[in-house]
Order: sequence, then structure tokens, then C-alpha cells
Amino acid sequence: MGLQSGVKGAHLGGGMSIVELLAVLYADVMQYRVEEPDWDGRDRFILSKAHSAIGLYAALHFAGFLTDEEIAGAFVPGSVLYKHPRLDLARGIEFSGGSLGQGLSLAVGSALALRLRRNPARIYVVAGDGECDEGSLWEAAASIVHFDLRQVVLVIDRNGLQNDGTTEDVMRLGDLGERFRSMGFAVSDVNGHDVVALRKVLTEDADRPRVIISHTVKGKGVPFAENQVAWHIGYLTKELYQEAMESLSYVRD
Amino acid sequence: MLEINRRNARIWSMLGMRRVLGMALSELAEQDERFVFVTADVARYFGAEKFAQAYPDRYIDVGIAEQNMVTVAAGLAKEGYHPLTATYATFTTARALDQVRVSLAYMGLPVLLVGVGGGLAEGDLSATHMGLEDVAVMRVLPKLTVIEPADCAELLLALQALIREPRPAYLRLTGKTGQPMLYRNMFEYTIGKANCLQGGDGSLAFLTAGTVTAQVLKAAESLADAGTVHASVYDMHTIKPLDAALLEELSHCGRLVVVEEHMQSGGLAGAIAEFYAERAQRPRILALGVKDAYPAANDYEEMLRLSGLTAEGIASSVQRWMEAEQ
Repeated sequence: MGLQSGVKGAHLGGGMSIVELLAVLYADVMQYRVEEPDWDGRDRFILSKAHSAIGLYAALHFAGFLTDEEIAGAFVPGSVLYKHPRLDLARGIEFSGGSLGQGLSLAVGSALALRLRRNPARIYVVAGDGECDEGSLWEAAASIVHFDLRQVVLVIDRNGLQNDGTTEDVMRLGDLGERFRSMGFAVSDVNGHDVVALRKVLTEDADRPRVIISHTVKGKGVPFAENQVAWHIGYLTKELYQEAMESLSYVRD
Repeated sequence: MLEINRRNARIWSMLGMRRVLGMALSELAEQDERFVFVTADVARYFGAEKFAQAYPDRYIDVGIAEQNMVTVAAGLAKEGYHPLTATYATFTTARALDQVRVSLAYMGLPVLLVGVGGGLAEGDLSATHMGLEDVAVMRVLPKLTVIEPADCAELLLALQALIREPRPAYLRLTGKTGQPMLYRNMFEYTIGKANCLQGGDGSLAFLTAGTVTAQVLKAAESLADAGTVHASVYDMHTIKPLDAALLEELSHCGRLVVVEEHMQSGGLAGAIAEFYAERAQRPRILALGVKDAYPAANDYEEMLRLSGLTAEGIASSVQRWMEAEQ
């Protein structure tokens, strides 16, 4: 949260909604080696909803890919940690995001490559529910099922909000799970703020490619930002930062 | 298979670039174990069935989904493979432009994009299948190499060079079956270095790329026969990076005629004009291409004729230009 204070356009809300997911992935589920970031056996993580960079950087810092100095300088003009992460394997970043609807296709190509060399590593992709408006995401989804790429695990951050309003008001998604199920995915719903449930669902095996719909609250843990459209790209003043930190410590207690 | 000789060149020119590409796939896969072919429901169009049978793991058809095609190829490239994608020029470069931009130009992933139907070859299917802006769009993207071979022999050499040293690239294929042969013997092919096909008296040079090169050679011949001018002809197979050394040399040439099966603006002529824009010493340039409108769907030859891109059309444009400026 300190990261975002004073920075405009950092998408705090969408960053907060995937914090628990990232914590479970980086602390427990994913295989990786900080000292050998291009290790071929690593699980790949692709943040397709790249505007949640703030959450990814915190996770990469926790994992050891980013130094204290780098994380403190994130988003600051001149920093290599952009508001949308840029491909930088040395820092654990696998994709240059920002243009929505493309991360899943990159995962398809990566999974086909891993299969060619019999590498069982997994590829976790996080896409936003608003991002599901992009047609190219569905092209990629169809090809995952068609090529039976079970190494790809797609997590949809279902926080219900996008830039212009709720996902249902802006462009109705309807029953998202049913959409994926009808394509041939195994679909699981999970409370995206429940780390135990997340861990369970992320480590399950299935006999077909999987989609996890992670139900979250945008701006989770910060009452004034929770479920507020304005906090899609809201801006933390010093006062609001204090208030947010107090709420979070209250939650922790 | 890849030896360039008169017999092979004749066979390839009969097949046309599409089929020659399809034929080359197995050869490329044999040479390079990381070669992968990615297409979007047009594999049969290249005759890629043989390749699909021989290398089923390295044959990926994503269906009618060009955006996915480009980024899937990028994912393969990121993991160390050497993907070649192939579909219509306009679907690769216009429909999937943002994917090309993010994966090739921004991330720098070494995908070789092949566009068929560059120019008017598929124009009988209407403007939706004309590739008239592809060079303009691809050449402004950072990190991209843009190549347009003049005939099938040169296509094979370009493929070899691009597979040997993978990079983000766009390879533009023009023409139909039964193309003229320009190269009948092996020759030194270097990306970024134009080939001089014919020397002249230094007063006028043709710069061109793609199968229209054959028409340019004929036009140059008829201009010489008519006593108008002894023009030199250069095959500028690499549009990006431009052959700067050649253009430097030609800055003392009085007139350049750039001929391309592309919109008149933004393509090879645009690139050359940009090169000279800041220089005091520069030739006058005549740009011959399609003039800012989609030609009515018609036979290929007829569309070339109506666009002034046959040998006769090119020669008479040059004649008029020289008369007007005397």
C-alpha cells in the first residue's frame, strides 16, 4: 500500500483483490528459484490483468526477486517497475502486460512449448473479469481446451467491477462459470480472500483444463475503497494512506 | 531441395510463393529442431499437410483466430522455439496488429510472421483480402525486420536466413502461381543488402520489392529500347532495415522510381523518402503504387493493369514524369 501512496494510475483496487491469491501462489504453490530466475522447471506466472502490478510487485518482493530499494522505488518515474509490468525474467516478470486479453494466449504458446520438451511446469494466468470482455481471451480459452493444456491454470479475479462500473452494467458477463464449463473447462469457484480455500483449489488435479473463478472484493481490507468503482485507479493521499493502514491493522488484529 | 538452379526455379515459379513456403516447412523443421509452424485455418492453402503428417507436434493450427495465433507463437518463442506463423497479410498485420506490437515489437520475441496475399494477388476476393497497408504498418514497429522477396528462389534464401538467426520479422509474399523467375542461380543473399539486378547510366534507378520486380525489369528494358533512359534496377528485398549504404550512393542519382504492390504511401517509397528527407543532396522520387483507394475486385492481372503496375503502366508513368520535369 505504501507503494501506491502518492502515485496516480496505479490501480490500487484491482491490486488489492488478488493479494491473497498471489500470497498463496508465491509462498506455497509455485516452484521457482530466486537465484536462477530462468530455471526451466519453474512454474510461470502471467499477470494478464497487468494493472494489478502493485500486487505482483509486493509478491515478487516477498519472494526475493525484488530488492527493498526496487520495491520502494516502484512506479516512481525512471523505475523499471512500471505501472504495467514489463517482461524481465531476472526479476521474475514473465510478460509485458497492459493490453488486455493477451496473457492467456502467451500461456497457450508457452504450454505448447513445455509439452514439446516434456516439462511438467505449470503456468498460472490471472485475468480480470472485466478483461473477459476482450474477444481474444476467448480465442485463447478455446485453444486451451482444444489442445488439452492442463498445465495452464486460469484464475479469473471476479471482483465485479471494471473501469466504467460493475461488470454486469458495463457488459454483462452472465454466468461466467457456465461459459467456461460449456467450452470444456473444469470450473471451480473460490472465495479469493480465503487462503486455505485458495491453496486447496490451486493444488487440485483435474482431468481437463481448469478455470478458477476467484470471487473477490476490489480494494479488500480498506473500507473506503472496497467495492468502489472510483478505486479502480484511485489515488491515495497521505491522509487516506494513514486511514487505509489503520483499517488493515485493525483487520489483522 | 534448396539448390537454386534453372530447373528448380522453374518448378517453384509455377507453384508460387504460397506453395513454396509449404514445401519448405519440412526442410526448415529438419534443419532446426526448434522450428514450429503456427497457422490460422489456412494450412491447406500452403499445402502444409505433408509437414503436418511428418511433424504433428510442431504443427499448430489455432483455427480462425489470428490474434491468438500471433501470441501463441510468441509464447513458443519465449520458451526458446522458432515459430513461423502464416496467414493472409492483412489478417496478420492489421487484425492482430496489437498482438504483433506487444509480443514482437515490445517484448522482442523472435516470431517470423509470414503474410500471403501481400498486394493484389488475392484481390479477386475483394478489399478484405488485399494486403495494401501491411508494409507501412510493420515497418514502423520497433525491432521488426521486414522482407519482401522478388521471387520464389529469393523467398527460400530469406527463409533460411531468418531461421538461421531468428528475430521478430515480417515476411511478405506477393504474386500468384506461374510467377516469372528472376534468380536462376545461387547468389549471396544478405538481409539488409539490396541486389542490383541491372546496371544503368546513373540518371535513373528503379527501387522495388516483391513479384512486381519482374514488371519493373521489363519496364526498364522498354525504356532503354525506346531510348528514354538506361535505368538501373535494384531488388530492395529488405524494407527494414533499409540498405542505407545503397541509398547514400544513390543520393547523387537524379531520379528514383519506387515501385511496389502496396499503397503508394507508407511503404517502400515512404521509407526511402524518409531516408532522404533530411539530406541536402537527394534524388527526386516517383512513387508508383496503389493510389489511396481499394481497387474494385477483379482478376489479378487486370487489377495490376488498372493500378499502373504492369511493365507498360510503369514505363508510361516514368515517361510522363520525365517529360513533365524536363
